Amino acid sequence: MKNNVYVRSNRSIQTISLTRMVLLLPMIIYGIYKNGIYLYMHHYCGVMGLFKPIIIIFGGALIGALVNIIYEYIFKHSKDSLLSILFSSFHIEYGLIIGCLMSININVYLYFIILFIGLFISKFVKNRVNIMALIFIIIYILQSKMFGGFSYINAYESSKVFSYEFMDYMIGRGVGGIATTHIILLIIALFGMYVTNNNKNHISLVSILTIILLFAFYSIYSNHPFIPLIFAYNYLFICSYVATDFVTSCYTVKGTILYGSIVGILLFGFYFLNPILAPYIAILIASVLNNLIDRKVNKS
Amino acid sequence: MNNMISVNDYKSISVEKKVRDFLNPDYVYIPIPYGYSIIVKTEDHVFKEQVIIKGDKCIYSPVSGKVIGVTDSMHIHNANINCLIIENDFEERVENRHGVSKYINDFKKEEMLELIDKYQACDINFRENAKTLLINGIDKDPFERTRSFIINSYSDKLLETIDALLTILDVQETIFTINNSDTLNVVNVSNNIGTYPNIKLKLIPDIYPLGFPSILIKNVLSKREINDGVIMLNVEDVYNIYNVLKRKKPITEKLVTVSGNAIESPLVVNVKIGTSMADLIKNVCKVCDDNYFVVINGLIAGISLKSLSSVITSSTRSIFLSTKDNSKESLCINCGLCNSKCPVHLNPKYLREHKNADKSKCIHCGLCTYLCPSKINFKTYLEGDESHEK
Repeated sequence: MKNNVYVRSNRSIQTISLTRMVLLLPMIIYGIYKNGIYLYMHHYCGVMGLFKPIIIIFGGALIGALVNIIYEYIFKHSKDSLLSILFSSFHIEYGLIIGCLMSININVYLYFIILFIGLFISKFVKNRVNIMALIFIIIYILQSKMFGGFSYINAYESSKVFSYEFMDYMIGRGVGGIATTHIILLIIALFGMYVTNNNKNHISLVSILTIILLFAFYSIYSNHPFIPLIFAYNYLFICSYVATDFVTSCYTVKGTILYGSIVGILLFGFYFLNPILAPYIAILIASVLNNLIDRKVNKS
Repeated sequence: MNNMISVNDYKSISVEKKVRDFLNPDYVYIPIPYGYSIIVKTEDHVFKEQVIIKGDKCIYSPVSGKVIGVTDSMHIHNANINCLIIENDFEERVENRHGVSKYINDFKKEEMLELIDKYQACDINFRENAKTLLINGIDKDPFERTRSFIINSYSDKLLETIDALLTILDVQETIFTINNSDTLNVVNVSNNIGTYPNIKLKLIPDIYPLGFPSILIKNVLSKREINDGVIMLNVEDVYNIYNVLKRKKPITEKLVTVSGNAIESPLVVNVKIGTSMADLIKNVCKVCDDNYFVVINGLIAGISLKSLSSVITSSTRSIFLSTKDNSKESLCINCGLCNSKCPVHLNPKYLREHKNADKSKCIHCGLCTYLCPSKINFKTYLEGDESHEK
């Protein structure tokens, strides 16, 4: 028998993933209200519209679960329990997060097909790129090409002209993904992940600080209002949940700090190219470099 | 102490409240170190505490009885070693009773060191001109209770010896560290320490791996104190020194935690050095699951035994009978916990991937393996067993 440790902590992919998803629930509930119940109550959508956010978000998680089951049972002939197969990777969490990030106007069929293919392929190409960012970029491009554009604005928001204040963004009135707009709930989720040690805190903190600094300078320089720059396009959510993906981000302290700053700087750079895709492209590039960053910064 | 962890979340193993004795094994097996020679013959009768093996140091018989011969079938830490077998006559006959020689504070440093060396009370290098004496009362593994029991049973003797050491070694400061979750010990020592104003009691949080000497020193003492020189002893060493100075007798018994989820009631046993594990387990443990394996010296930092024909030595602190762990190693998820929690700031993930990287700083505490959510066995890689599959 090999030397080993004969007791193990309770921490596992399952506990990490479940904690992160549970902390996401308040935002999801708010997102369902904002993009489903509220629209239905004010006759901006029908019954299908009422359930669309639920279908997109939890459907994403189901696709993640399905991918794990198919891969483990069919390709790996695993004999493990269903629970351990479901949480053999972070794919359920990935599906849920991508669902939260989606626009309510997304074509559901396109979304599910790309999500399934993307997550499934990622099972074979292990730890290479941030799969959430890649899938979002593909969906965005295909939605824009095939269905005439990608917009976060829901039926209610498009019917009126809004001028959002700081507190509007904080309580989730801003425009964004289905369940990503409520900043107070996001801060609570971040705090929860920090307390339970289920997040790469340096990445979220440094990337958010970097974009705040860069956009502040840009705002002063160009007289562009600062608040919408920060709170629009899910930047804070993406820095908290997508950039901190365990598998494809740096793991050393120095590495996570540099990784966070690279994400922030690239996001700012790509903002001028495409503000919606900017964070995803930034994370995609940084995730490709994650091993290199860890190696270089810890060489000494 | 940010790097350390509390293992309270795991089912804690509560041991019996009293030490149980197992001092009558049928046979004892005395390891013969390389370069040492046996000075008794087969069929000879030996007394308890009689010198039986001699080399740089003397090795004493823990029992009285008959010399049977030498066997090469016994193990220490899974390595075969020649052992002298003595059949116990259960009479505990001693050749010369030395008795109390003098008050232990009256010993001179050279005199004390000579006795410690002669009777092998401990393996500590008593550094010249050290200014601090640090007494480690923290169990090395969170599931061990050996040191805790020593403090509980002999706190008065420990304090008396520490006070004597303070005078004999001429150190300026003495710090006695105790786990703050051992409330009985805290109360016990606090009540007695008033008589010894020179001994400082320091309560240490119940976190792993504070029982490791280098980690404890780093967390308890300032850099200046460390640079000024530290002598570190654990409570078992202190108790052995007490016995050597007070009774002038070699160390032939020791306390061992016997625990694990395959036995009914975990306990701390006072056992003869040289007892075989099989003998101890057969006579002391009520095994509730026969499909067990034996781990010695801690469930986190310990090693599993290939065979029960192993011998209890002076370095055995604990024996765990554990059922097989079914956790499966999966792919690394890059969480970085192994790196961020390593008490000596190593990068176990990197060391696992780079066979030639310098692993010398590793203290083999097993914390990285304990914490890993992917259940990766870093310990094997860090100990240099490269045959393990990646």
